[in-house]
Amino acid sequence: MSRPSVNILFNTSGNDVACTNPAGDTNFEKLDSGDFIVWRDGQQNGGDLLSGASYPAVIPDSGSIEAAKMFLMNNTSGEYDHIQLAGTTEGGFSGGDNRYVCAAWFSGETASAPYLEAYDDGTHETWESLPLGDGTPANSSFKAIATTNGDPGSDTWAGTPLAGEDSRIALDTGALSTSKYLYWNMKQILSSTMLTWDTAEWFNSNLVFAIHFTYA
Amino acid sequence: MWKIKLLLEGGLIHVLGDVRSGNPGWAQCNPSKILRIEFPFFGRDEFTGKDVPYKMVLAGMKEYNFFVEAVRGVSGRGKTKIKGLWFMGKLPNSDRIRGFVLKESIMSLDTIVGQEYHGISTVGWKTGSVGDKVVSTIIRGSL
Repeated sequence: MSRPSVNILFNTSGNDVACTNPAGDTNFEKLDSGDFIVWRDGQQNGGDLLSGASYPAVIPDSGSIEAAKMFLMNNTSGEYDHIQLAGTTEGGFSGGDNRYVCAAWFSGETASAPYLEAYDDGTHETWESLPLGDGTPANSSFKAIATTNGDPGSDTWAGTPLAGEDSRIALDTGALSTSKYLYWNMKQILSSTMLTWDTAEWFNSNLVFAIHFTYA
Repeated sequence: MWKIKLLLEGGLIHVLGDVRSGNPGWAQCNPSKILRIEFPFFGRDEFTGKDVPYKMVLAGMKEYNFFVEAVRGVSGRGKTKIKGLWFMGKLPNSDRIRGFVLKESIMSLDTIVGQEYHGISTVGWKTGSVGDKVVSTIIRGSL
């Protein structure tokens, strides 16, 4: 059980099917150097140039809404790649009861169940920024649901708020005994309380999602 | 330094790989009975800011486990980073686990079997030897 390799992949097709290759296949793209994920308004489309017009998700005047679209910002192609199955139907596009959306491929065993978490930055130490709930994990604007062993069960799945080690999702039921793909679906919730944030917090690009795992 | 030393039955000593590497060696070793685990490491003295040698010792446990806790960023800049080193022993005649987590600071573990890692179980336990004095300690200034 040496340290397993972990590849992150996103399904950029409309097909809710399992990933067949850790390096990516016709449905899944592997996250490579310089790639990022981002949520945008519905006007943004797959194939749009990263250097072109950007359509940020719109904060509601009252209440909460789900960000319309999730994208992989592909540094190699220089384009937005739409992660079409991400989120729920409340996003207004092709989200829903979708299982094979985001994937982490492990090359081998772990000593415990891997988790998906969110942190303030790449040090992976704190989770107190406004987007992650400002110290109240339940208020995190990012929510996810593990789908390794089944689909979410609803077109409008609720998900678990992501905020460091305080609020996270286990991607499987236990330690991995062999190489395996783990899956989840995720969404961003925009709330009218965000209107009080500084602009820098709206465009906080330090936030990171992380896979937390163990090996021996 | 940074390598786990296993003291085994019959006076045998087995030293594993560097825990900071991608292959600490715990999973691959298969000893019959572990009498004692020692782990020498450097820790930062909070007052002087200097590195001080420490040694973690577990002995007398019925089973032992070790693993590296790591995190890998979900982004193109994501690299695997070590967050902690977990050393655990199951107490004889008990459902409790004692040990240490070495992170930015040293955390003492006292939990129950099945909930040893953030409330969940772990795999990779290896057989110890019951009968000797139970030890779960960290010695400062010792290698």
